[in-house]
Amino acid sequence: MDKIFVVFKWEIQKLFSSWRKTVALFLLPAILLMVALNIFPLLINYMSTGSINKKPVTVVGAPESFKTFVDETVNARVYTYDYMSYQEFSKIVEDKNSFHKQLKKGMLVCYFYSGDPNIEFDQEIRAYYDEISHENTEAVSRAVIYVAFDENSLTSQARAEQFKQGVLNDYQDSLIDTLGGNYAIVGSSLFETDSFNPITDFEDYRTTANTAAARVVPGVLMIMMYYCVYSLVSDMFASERDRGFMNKLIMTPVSRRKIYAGKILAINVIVTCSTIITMCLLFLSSWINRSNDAMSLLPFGMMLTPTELLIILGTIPITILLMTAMCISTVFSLNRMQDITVNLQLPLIYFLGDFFLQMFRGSRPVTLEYFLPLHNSLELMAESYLAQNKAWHVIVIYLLNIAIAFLVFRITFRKEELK
Amino acid sequence: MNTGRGIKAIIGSFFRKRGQMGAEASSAAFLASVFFVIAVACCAASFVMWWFPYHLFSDEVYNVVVVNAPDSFVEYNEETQAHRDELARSYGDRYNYFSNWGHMTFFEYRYEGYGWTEFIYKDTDALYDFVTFGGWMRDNDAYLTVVFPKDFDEQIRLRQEGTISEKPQILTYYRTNSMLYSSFKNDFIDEYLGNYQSKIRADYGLKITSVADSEIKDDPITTVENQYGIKAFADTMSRTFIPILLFVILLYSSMSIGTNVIAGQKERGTFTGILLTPMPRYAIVLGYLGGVVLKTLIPALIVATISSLLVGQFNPAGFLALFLYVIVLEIFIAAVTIMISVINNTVVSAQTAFLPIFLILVAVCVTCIQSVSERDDFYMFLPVHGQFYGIGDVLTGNTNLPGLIVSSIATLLLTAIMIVITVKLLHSERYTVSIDTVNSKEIRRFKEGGKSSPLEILNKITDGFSYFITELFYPLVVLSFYQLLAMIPVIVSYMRKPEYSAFISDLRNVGTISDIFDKTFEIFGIFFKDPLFLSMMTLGYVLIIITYFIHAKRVWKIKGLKNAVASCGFPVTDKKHIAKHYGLGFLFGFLMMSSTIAIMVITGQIKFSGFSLSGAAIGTFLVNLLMWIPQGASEELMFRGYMIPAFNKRYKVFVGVFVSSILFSAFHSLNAGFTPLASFNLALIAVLFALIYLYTGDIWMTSAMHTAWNLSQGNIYGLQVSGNEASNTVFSAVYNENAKSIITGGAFGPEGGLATTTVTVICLVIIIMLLVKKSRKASNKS
Amino acid sequence: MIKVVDVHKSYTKDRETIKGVSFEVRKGQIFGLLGPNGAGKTTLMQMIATLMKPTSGQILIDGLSSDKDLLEIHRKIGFLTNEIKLDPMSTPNNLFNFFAELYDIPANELKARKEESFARFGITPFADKRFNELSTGMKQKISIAISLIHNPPVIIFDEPTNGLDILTSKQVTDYLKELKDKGHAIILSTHIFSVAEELCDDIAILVDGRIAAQGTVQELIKQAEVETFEKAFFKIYVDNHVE
Repeated sequence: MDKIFVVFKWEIQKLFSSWRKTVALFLLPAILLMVALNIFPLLINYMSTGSINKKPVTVVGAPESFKTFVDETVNARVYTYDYMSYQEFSKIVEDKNSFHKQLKKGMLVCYFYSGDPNIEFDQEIRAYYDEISHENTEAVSRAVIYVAFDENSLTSQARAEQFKQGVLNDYQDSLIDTLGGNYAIVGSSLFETDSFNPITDFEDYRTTANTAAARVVPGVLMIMMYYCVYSLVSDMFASERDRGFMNKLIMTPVSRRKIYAGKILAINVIVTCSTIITMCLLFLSSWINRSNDAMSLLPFGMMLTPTELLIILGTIPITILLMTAMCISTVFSLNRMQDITVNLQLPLIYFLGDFFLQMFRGSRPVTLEYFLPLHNSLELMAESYLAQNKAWHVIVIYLLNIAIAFLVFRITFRKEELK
Repeated sequence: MNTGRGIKAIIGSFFRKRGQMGAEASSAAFLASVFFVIAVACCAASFVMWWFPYHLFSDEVYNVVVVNAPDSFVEYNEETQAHRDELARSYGDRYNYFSNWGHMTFFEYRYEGYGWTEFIYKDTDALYDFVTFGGWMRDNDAYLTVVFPKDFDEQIRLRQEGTISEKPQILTYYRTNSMLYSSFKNDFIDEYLGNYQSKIRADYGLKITSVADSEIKDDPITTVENQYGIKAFADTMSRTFIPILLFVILLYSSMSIGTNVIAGQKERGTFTGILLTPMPRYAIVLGYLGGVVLKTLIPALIVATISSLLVGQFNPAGFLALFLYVIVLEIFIAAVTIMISVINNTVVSAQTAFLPIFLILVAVCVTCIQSVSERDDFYMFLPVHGQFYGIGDVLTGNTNLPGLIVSSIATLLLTAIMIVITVKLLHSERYTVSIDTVNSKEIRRFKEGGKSSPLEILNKITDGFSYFITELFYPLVVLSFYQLLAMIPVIVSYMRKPEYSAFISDLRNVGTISDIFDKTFEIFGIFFKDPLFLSMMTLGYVLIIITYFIHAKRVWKIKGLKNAVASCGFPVTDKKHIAKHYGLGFLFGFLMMSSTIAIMVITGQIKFSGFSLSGAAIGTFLVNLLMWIPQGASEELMFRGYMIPAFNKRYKVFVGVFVSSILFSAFHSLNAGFTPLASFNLALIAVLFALIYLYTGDIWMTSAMHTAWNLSQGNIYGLQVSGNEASNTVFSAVYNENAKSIITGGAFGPEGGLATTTVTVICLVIIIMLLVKKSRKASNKS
Repeated sequence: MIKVVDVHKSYTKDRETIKGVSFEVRKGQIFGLLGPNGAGKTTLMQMIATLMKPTSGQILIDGLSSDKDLLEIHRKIGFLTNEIKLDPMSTPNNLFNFFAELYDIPANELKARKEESFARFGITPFADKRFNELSTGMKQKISIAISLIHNPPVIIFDEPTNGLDILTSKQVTDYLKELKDKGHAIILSTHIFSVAEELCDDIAILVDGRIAAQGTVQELIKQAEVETFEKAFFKIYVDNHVE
């Protein structure tokens, strides 16, 4: 047993003997991923709107009540507004092509309509409350707020939805207090819900953030883990065998299994640490993201409960073990270095594919997916982020992956010994 | 002539394979491929059989805990009971989603109508005690807790009568173990509580129980005609999937071939042979480039042809354009690979270096997919983007000739630049020897002297700057991290206390910055009386001290923890010495504070109103005492014991003293009632402590002084400690009505007043005299 | 010490690399293995060093068979090939300590043994330099020092003087002689006739996986009926090689 640790210590020490290797393993991938994740939405925004900044919301015929609402509400000031009269707007709409072009670039129009061009929006609502406070139960308000956006752009759709949720709904709720007149005293909204409740705010943020994270983080971690395992296995197994150093190790009175176990342990510890660092960086990335764009990949407030965190922390070394098994089996079954690298890189493309699959799919996994090694780790992490983790998934996936890893090790090393 | 033959020979070497064509596949890679295909198939199946996984998710809970339920709400629940029972009956089996098809959507199970909801009534005064609520929810299979204020009905009534204007607030808490509960909660608030509001209105005799003053409508505008059918599918594929596929094929095969050639040959030691041939370097690079391009193009062009035929693009001109795009793109990618191959010495490192580029290019592709319909024409002319969109355009049957020409020329220009760089790299020896050799060379050159280049000077400046920044921010980060950590349990404990519910819910009115400051100090005032907070802070300070020891050990590369501790100003070998210094320090600190108080008493600023320590508060007093010890030690460690030697290693002594003092003062200036005089005084005190540190050589004495100062000030004489209100004091001191805050320091505490300045200046003079004497002695000796 | 009995080895089904080789090496003897490239020297050496298993036949090291007492054999063998490239970022000191731990060398003995071994080959001043700063000869000497770290009774050296200058070469051959006098059993493969002539007590010439001739240098010269050992080697090769 102690010999395993001798090899383990040696490998770790070797890794830290060269700072370039250390940085390449621990920080570079994590930082690259973080940068990529932050630039990605910016790029999308830029590609679709032609500017990095957020476009202002075009507000047509804004009533006084809306302007005061914007001044007084923090949430509403997240957006910038471009106020416009009906005449100015109709001029823009006249040229259909240029209007469409602007829509394509992410223009969002919020159009206040009172049902009659001669009546103002606020007036219509006041009139409505006036009617009902005079016991007219038949009173109807014709006031409508239209939100216009480009139907063909997902970004615009998401932004419009966010604007409605974040600003317009609150504005609508405030109307009874500001314009209700007599009626407001007796019949205004009677109570508030969660106007100050940090815990629930926190949970709401978590819901948004974790739903987004479930699409991105597991895939990122898988790619990252495989990338590290792959480079470490080619360094510790393939290159060492190629250089003849492996023979030297085998010639010592320590059994092969112990030597391999030491190396596998070293790979596992290093990659686990590196992955956890990446995960922390992703958390950080989420927590410093206060902009919460519609297309933001990691919105503010990513959080895991201790159970979920434990499940993910358990999944990481197990997945790494299986990946190591896969890579080592490739290294031992082939002879030419060139073949080995090609074969080791091929799965990277699959992990990339799996990442995009997970990112764009909205459906829950089919039961069979929990039985596909490595893919099931990704699904387990994703469902932990979604708080949908089930005990039997965890047990099945852990046991299955460990069993397959050990089976592969057994077969590979037995073959190796028979040579 | 000769060059041409050489290039041809190198290209030819790509196609002369030893043994079989292509690479061997391992069984692991084969299995991985199989599993990936199954995974993709499963994903596709999950779209077709979206109802399938629902049998796996049947353990959601539906009850609601109602805290302090007002009579009206209980009444309302009874009214809706019949309707809810009926709904429950129509749902059928609670654990079988399939009996209720209508409620399944693609992504989640919609739970409407609260048919399965039972209400559990509880009472408490602590409205923010989420820990207890969580327990109640777990015990009662509830997903939501709705918390009413105790006198909800009363408040509604008063408001209807116009007596008060504040609306009562309802709080909700939901469980975290399913994301669904978040939408459940929103539905409950919107629908159930909305209808409850209508019921109250009706109870008060209002005829209109729900108002509809306005409407919000979506107005999606179609900017592009939607297409359906095979043609639309083919178009989508040719704009998204096929270009990505081509990109991945090109990238992957270029990587595996390109990194193998130069880096691989370097590894095997055969590259020297090629470099020694009389071929010019550019010919070598071009030869390899040609080889990689030709070899990669075989699979790429086959895939391009097949996919072009599949999407129904048979136009010969289209094929030509498609091939051109692919070839230009491949030349570009191959140039990148060759460059990376030249920089690296082994295949593995070359491939590792290439992977980020691989990922970035794929990410670019994905961003292109996102915005196919929204792109600007401008992108057609760019490298990479131009090829991606161009391939899509060609496959959908509308070739953009100017785009093709411009983007190809741009890409080839970029490629040419890269080839030139590659040739230059190959020329300079720097990249063919290992980095370490270069370093030692440079070090030697540096040691031998010579002028330093502007770049080196710039390096030095930025280096110094970054050193400063790290040293300055380290205490800030450490301090805030541990203080935050110490605060969490305290905050949770206060949220659980009923008497603070009103205080917390009052926080919603905090808006302006000054409000925030006031509230923060109020909160700290509360916390400082709490033994839990004090002990957490104590723990935090101890952790800060430990963190610093480890940090110093690592940064200064000291072996042994004892030595590291000593180098931070805490020599631990001589116990007598420690006791002497610490005891003296305590005495000095107490004396300094006492003389400050004495000045105030003499000038008639302050008077004592007697003993105020009650028996019950003695415990807290002791905890307080315990806290000041690590507090003093940790601040001394941060600003003196660590920082001054850290700066000494690079700069003159006074820089360390100066910077640490300024920083010390800045740290404390964030507190309440701060005045410029206070910050000046704090800086003076810091200088005094720094000089004492330099005189004694350790921070045992200053730590004790720091502790004694704070303790005597806050807990013995009962004054504010740098803006923090003290409590649990032995004496209670009261400022006279005509006290001048310029002498006493006002709300900030004595550090803000001239009394302290006087005492500190006197002490400074003494210590400077001592230091001068010591240095004279030292110089006499030598 | 080393007993090789009718060993066969085939990598593929239809072609045998080693076609029945038998010999024995005693204590205090240097056994030379000569042969052209591709004759199967390295394969044979690796089989003796237990890195490969023979298809049939038996190899006994000190009476132990690799099937049962593999690790026990490892304790008795010192193996060196010239293929080894050392990790460029490591240092001789680290490497030595690492192998000392693997070979279970007690900590109190380690220091003395390291000093002795490093001093003999002149490694001491380079003990903490990284391998990429060292010369080829130095690396080879370090490899040798590490192969013999556990003072093995059986030493298997695959072309130990390959790529070394004459001075270093001399150091190595002197050391081998010394080891022989101490009673180690040594197997040596080499291309260099002078080394073989000078060192080997018994020489086997391997041609196409068979031992074409075996004996002392004198015996071989006599057997081939030529004047020099070099000529003897050529004659034996030409006689036994089948196109």
